[in-house]
Amino acid sequence: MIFSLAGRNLWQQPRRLAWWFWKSSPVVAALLLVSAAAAPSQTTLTGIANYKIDVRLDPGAHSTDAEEILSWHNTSGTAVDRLLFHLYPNAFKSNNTTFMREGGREISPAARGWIDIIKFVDLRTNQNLTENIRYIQPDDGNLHDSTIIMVQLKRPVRARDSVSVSIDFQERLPQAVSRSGWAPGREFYFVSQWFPKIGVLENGAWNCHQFHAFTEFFSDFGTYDVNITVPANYIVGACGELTGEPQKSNGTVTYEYVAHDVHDFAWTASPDFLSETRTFSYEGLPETKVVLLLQPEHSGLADRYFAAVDTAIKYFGFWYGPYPYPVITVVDPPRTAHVGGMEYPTLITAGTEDYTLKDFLSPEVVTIHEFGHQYWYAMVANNEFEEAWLDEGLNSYSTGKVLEKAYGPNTSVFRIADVYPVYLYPLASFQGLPIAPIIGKVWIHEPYNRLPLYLDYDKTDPISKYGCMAFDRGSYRTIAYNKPELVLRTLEGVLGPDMMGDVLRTYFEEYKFRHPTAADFERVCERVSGKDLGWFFDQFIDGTGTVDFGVKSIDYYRETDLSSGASTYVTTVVVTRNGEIKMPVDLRLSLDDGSAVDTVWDGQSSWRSFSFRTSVPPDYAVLDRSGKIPIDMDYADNSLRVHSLLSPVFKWVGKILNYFQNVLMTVGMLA
Amino acid sequence: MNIGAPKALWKGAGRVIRNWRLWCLFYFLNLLFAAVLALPFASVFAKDISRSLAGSDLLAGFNYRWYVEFIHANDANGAYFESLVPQIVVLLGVYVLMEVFLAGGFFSVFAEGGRGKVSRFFSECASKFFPILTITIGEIVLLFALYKGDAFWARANLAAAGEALTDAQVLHAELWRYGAVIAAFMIVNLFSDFAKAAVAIDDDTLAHKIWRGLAFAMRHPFASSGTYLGAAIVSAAVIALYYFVESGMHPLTAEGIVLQIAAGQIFILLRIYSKLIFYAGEAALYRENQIEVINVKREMLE
Ligand SMILES: [Zn+2]
Repeated sequence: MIFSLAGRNLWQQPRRLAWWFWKSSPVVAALLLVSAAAAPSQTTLTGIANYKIDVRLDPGAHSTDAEEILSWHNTSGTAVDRLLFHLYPNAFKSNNTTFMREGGREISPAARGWIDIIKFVDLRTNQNLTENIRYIQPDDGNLHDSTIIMVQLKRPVRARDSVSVSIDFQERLPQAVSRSGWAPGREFYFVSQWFPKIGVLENGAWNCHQFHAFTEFFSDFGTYDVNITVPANYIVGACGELTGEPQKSNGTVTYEYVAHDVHDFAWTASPDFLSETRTFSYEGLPETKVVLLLQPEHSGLADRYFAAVDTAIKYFGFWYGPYPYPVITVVDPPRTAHVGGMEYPTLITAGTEDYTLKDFLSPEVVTIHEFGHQYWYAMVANNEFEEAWLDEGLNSYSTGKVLEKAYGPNTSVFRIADVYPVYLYPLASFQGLPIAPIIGKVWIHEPYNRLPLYLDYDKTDPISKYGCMAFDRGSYRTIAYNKPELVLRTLEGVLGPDMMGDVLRTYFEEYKFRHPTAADFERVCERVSGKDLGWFFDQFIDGTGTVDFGVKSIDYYRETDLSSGASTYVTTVVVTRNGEIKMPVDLRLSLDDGSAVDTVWDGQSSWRSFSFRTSVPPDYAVLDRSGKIPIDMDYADNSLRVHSLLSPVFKWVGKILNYFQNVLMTVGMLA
Repeated sequence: MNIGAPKALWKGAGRVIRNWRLWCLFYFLNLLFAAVLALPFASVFAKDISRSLAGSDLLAGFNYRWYVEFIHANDANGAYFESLVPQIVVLLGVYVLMEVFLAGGFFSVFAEGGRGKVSRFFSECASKFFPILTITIGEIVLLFALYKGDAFWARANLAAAGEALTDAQVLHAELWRYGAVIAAFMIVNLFSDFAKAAVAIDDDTLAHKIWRGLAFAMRHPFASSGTYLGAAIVSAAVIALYYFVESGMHPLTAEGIVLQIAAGQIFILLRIYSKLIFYAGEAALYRENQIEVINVKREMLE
């Protein structure tokens, strides 16, 4: 039964492969001719791993069965005698997998998922290699983890040669976990990281990590041609473009999706989707078809989703380069799917809560962020296991810039623990301190929503630590998202916004459809800016030092010229470096008449004294007044006035007092 | 002749005004406790911003960056805010006891209707303290049991069903749940209020008085719940009005700041007033309608 090859004869394979190569991107053919020794800045890495998959969904059993044909090209200079594959669904097989252990999670037997390889054939020789499959655990040796297989080939793949293998597999889909599986209470399937996916051969060695709790993914570019068979009433969304007419038979329907120059493939199916397609175009940018698959309860949000994608297509397109794919599919998952925002090539999931306020930009932020991943992840495809920050950080930075441009500088309202406490008078709290009655509605300037988590994890791991090896979820998020966004904003402060734009555009242009590393990014930064930035990357990426500059004291005295009677004010400002990171910082002495004297402190010593001679008395001294160093941990001590300003103190002490009076009145309701 | 809820509230409102000295006393005690609670926060706050440009930013509006860094510096690093928790808890406890103490005096004085002498008020506070404390403890135990029972019920039911629901359905279920819990809390609070009124107003053994208070609320369900809800609506209206006014105030000048602080204090005075209406309205209702019952009994005896 499980070995039945319904309607598929092996002798047909070569013909099917030829047809499929013909349909594949022309880049594939071109690439096969390009030597790996060619100038790296010229070579894209498309057409390495090409998949043809036929998959059928059985909703009753929450399962799929599929046949995959992989054509893989060995771009290295050495022969390969074994292939490594990711079997991500096996992360949900038991409580003892590396994914479950690291995440401190448990999964009930009914919710579990797994993948079984039924048959593995080397199509060059038609040899059945199923017996040669071994589970391996290169990262942690956890024998309960079966998320990687190694297949010993009988005939090696020579350097710059190709191999085609066919893999029959069955998958039991898990109850929605980590963006994969079925949603309880709904007919909704999100099928991601679902097929045997070959690892990445780097410099003759396999880069193939187990599925970790805190990680995303890494794989090679190629063409995916996937036939998806579902019950006839299901609506399907998938990576790539719908090709040809849907084929109906026996109460099922088969859709064919083809995606070129991508490194992953995900799909979703549900009878409940509201599907709408709109096309966006700008002069100078290619036309993009946007397919929106919406939950019925979110029907009112269609315009907001489309507007967000439109915004993203425009700014990412003009800033970094045109979106080259013909289509982007946006999936709005139901609440119980626990999918949230996630990126796949040409397909993103967004999601929102019912009853969110417009101010919160709930579908907008996540939609723009996930669209941004088409640039930083789908095209510029760094290794997310190892350098997660390179796409998440760059994308958080770029998303923030788009949000600022499109929606103004204040793009977030206060949100803690999944509630919007500002609107929940008087229950709001922040780290145990109830605040909403004191402050009311709060707007957050973009990078600062990244501060709280960073401050909690500032010393735990450096950004350069492999994301999948981070201390815990909070540390992973800190080194992948929060700290990098603050660091990149700080880099923007060092380079200037225009130069930063040039850097990112160049980085995108040179590394799209390739696998860059942090070192590549650093090289681009240095080359484009013409600056040595080693000090910056060493401290911010490789280290856990913090930035905290402060003005320690400000004193002045008056000198009067006896002959002319003119006064000169001599001001001494002592500045300190309270953090480990040494970097230049602007120092301004502002005078009573509103004028100012500016200088720069190199920030190298632990303190320094500056002396100013002015004709007007000083008002205050301030470091980094324009906020070029948003990662500074204490901006209150960046400035010091000569005289105290008491009105804000009275204003807020009045509010604090009033707040406690109210707390007492509320507690007094018990009496 | 029995009076209804509107009459009781009206009488109560007048009686609070007549006893404005007690009203002020309550306000000053509230202010004193709040000042002690606010002091440690206000002092680190003043130290952080009085000579910093962050002060100017905060004058213009709330500054999230400053706030996050300020909390981090005082919470995570020094654990300063955390170290304050025990003293905050103790102060809140003492404050509740103080309100329990005052309740006896309020019920007695407001039941009598006229302007109560301060000395009489305090002697009533003292003599009714333990009976009212007994009722308050009973009330807190009941409320706690309700709270725990609700959490238990929610875990068992909502969590199981929740996965199958849409956001909207979850929200509706939660609203119904909170509605039911709040209603239950209010019923417990209402009965304990009338028990306290009876304890403060009547002469009898403690158990009898409590029973009489509860029985009164049951005998006059509309009048008692009407009085209670009426006072609750006044309180809610005061709070809503204040947040409406406050959200429109963004003072930058000294005069504006004084005005904002004054508005905050007027709000507290009104909150206290609306709280005293509970006492006075309930006391008026209990006293007037109780007299009616006693008179009827006397007539029947004659
Ligand atoms: Zn992301």
